[in-house]
Amino acid sequence: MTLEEQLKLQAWLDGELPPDQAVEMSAWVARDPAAADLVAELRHTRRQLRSVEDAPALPETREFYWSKIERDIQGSAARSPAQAESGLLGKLRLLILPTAAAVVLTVVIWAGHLYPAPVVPAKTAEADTPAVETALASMDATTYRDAREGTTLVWFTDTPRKAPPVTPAPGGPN
Amino acid sequence: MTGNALSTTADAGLVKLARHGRLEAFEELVARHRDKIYARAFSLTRNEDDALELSQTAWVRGWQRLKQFQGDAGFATWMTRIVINLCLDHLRRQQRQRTSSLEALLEANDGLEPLLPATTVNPTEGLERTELRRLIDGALGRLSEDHRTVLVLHEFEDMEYKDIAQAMGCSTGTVMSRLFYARRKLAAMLPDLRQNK
Amino acid sequence: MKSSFPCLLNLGSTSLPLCAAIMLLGLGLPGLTARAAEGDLSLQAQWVLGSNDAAANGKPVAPEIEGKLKKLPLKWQHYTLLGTQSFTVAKNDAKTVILGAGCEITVKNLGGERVELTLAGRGKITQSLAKGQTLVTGGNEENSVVVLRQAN
Repeated sequence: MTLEEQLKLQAWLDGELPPDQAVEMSAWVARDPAAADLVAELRHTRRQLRSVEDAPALPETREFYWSKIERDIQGSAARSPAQAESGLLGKLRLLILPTAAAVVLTVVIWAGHLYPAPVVPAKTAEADTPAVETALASMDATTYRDAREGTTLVWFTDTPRKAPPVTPAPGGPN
Repeated sequence: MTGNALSTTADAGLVKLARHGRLEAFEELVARHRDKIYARAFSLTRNEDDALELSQTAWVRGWQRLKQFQGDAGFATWMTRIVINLCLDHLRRQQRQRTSSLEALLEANDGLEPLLPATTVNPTEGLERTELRRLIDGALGRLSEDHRTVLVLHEFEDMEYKDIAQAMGCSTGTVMSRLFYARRKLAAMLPDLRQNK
Repeated sequence: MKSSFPCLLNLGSTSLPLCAAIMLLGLGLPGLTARAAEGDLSLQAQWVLGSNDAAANGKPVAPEIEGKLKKLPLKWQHYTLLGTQSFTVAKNDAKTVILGAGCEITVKNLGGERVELTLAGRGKITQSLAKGQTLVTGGNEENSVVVLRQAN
């Protein structure tokens, strides 16, 4: 039995094969003793794993465990960026910030010191969950969000309708 | 709402209260599901301290993302996904820091042992549950992280191959071979479950 | 940092009123500039190659981007820059950008710092992209990602 055949047996056992292939595998297991033995072993291992309660006890009291979570929640609430402002206040901010920066710049230059103007960091908004449309019905997409970094990853799965992986030309890009 | 009332409120109700800033409602959710979340973290990391920290971080993330909880899956399932992602991220960071050993290299390349003959199962030989759990726990601890992760996600979280592949950032084929390797290695490490031919 | 204001030539008290006048004029300009650009989005898109080969050739991505990519559940340890484009998209307008051979994206500005990113052959992503936020997209069978964010 090749490794590929063994993996296919496993996929059949796990219900991952399409119906037509599953029927073929059933027939094969019924007539091939080696295949039947392997399926029995995989099935038994799976049963043993699932029969064991997967629940090591939390080694801390409720209060102690919660106290750290509460502290982190309150700490992150104090650090979190403000929500994006829209409407009149947002428009005013477009005027106020560059104006304020210009005033600061004026004072600094007039003082005769050519220091760079202090940067007023723009307050960032939380990104919402992205809406994703795939190009093909057979495609799927997964979203992962790292709130702390402000990064959203959208990962498409299935074979795209374009060129294979890129190898960069020697000497680097643009 | 008093503490007693919170303890009798369903998860959906507690989530609603927590979304309105009621931290005590979230604390009740934590108390209700913390063991399960910790257990998942421990099964993936095999380290008590890491599991504690990652499970607590998962709860903080859960609080921050409450508005994203759609309610289509159970709250515990949703929280489990958060802690799984955190654990996988943690394991990836750890892997980068660790020096490669020959075993790690082999496992990274899915260097499978020669095709083993199937072990014969003796279904009549039962093991007392705690003893079985101890044996399986020990055997799981001896698997590599990648193999154990695939096994845990498939067997305990009922995740499909493609979902595991997405979570681990690998192909479906790699998931299949790692799962196969992990299952066969587990069977080989549990001598009371087999009878030598 | 250099300045083009002539009053710097003489920082005596007589030049201060001139400075102030020029600065007062200048105060209006950012507002005017902002009103003209309101709704426009200045974006930067990068096409990034991922690999686990420390000796991979190519220009490395900026440390800030690399840090973000490394915190994502991607399987690569090293990232090199394949192509980068900075561009502006007016509100309700779309722009197609070619980041390199085989990598074309279309970005539509939906207003309110919301974008619709179309990755050729893959699909379309719609989400808000405020300053400081980063959108990364890619897919199986490829070893590269596209990174989109507002330009600094």
